[in-house]
Amino acid sequence: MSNNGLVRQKIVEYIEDVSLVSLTEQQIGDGDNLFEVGILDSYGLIELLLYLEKQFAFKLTEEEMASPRLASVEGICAIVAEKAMVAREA
Amino acid sequence: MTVTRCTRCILPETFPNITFDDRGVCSYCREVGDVQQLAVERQALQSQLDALFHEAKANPKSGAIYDVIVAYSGGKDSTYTLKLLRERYQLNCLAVTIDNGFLSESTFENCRTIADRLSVDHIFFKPAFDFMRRLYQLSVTRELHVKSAIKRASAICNSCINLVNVHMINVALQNGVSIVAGGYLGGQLPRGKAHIELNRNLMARMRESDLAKYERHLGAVARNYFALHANNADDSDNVICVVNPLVAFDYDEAQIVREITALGWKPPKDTGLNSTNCMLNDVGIAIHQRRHGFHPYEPELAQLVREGRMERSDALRKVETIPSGEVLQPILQRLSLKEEQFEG
Repeated sequence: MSNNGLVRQKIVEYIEDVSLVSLTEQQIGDGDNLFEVGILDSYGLIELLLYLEKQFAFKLTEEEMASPRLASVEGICAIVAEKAMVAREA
Repeated sequence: MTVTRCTRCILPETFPNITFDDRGVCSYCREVGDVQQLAVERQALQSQLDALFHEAKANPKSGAIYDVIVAYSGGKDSTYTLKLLRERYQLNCLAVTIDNGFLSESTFENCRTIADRLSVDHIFFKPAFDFMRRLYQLSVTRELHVKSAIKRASAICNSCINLVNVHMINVALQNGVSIVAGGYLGGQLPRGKAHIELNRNLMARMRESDLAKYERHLGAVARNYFALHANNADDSDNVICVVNPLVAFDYDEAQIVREITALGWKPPKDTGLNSTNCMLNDVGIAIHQRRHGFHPYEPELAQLVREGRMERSDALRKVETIPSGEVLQPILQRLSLKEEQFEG
């Protein structure tokens, strides 16, 4: 599995674990807005931010915390990939 | 029916995602350390809070009258929190109590007594009862919250917690205060955190995600209670630190009650086994237990048992009596709800 695939797997496992919902069974796609489909709320967002910073060892900027991309699996994976790239180049 | 429970804490087999090892210890207990390790973690959290509050005291925000807004329910935990902030840190507190229409008469008395004894300014805020009743009705009859919220509190309590959190942040923004504190235990701050910083972008994101849900169900009036005040929230200088001092201190329930009783706090007699301020709590518990097969206080009490702050037998006593029948009727009538609706 590619690194991006592993990251996606980790994120999906995390979301399914904390939300008590199977994204596959509920037919929730990677591009779906997790707030609109009732998976995440404000508390879940804070937990997600803390998880991402701990799991992937980076610090999110203020702008990233407010990014609409944090609402979908696809967007979260993209942010993690970007942060990893910045870390590699640093 | 006998329920299998974790042999270390009290979580039952009906709790979401739980598994047990061959010693009967649950997966949630296995994620955390033993009593000694948890005490070390608590000490680290306490050092963080000491630094935060000393900074707030040493460098007060320009123009602000208060150092901290305290979400003061009048219950034992927030009373102890207020005492801690006043006596240990000598912070200038504004205590704010939300009257949800179901506070015990003793709660009003306790709020007034404690505010006076600790010399703090205090505000009661009472949202229109018609709105609160609709909010609670919806909490019971619809899936108002995300599924994972069942691990934090009952649906009724989750609605109240959200309203209180937004209101406290608004009061902080209006008063130019950067710290909001409460006697939060379960389900109000992520586990292992004593404080969280909410910058303006994060606050905006949180507002957007929850407000739409409440507006969809309750109409535009929901903005009055679940929207952050735009002008202040968009101010780039605003960072609100939400603090949960209780997770950082060694205490047990008996100690809390002893200390706040000395200040004049009296335990209400009409709020059930698990609340020390609100008469609605038992309805939330009864519905939650019937729908989800576990008591909504089990996660919070389990954590106290894990940390060695509560005897397992005392925690079990609190969750093994489920309120029903006549105890609930007066409250259900005020909410225009029937017990049959508990099944969902």
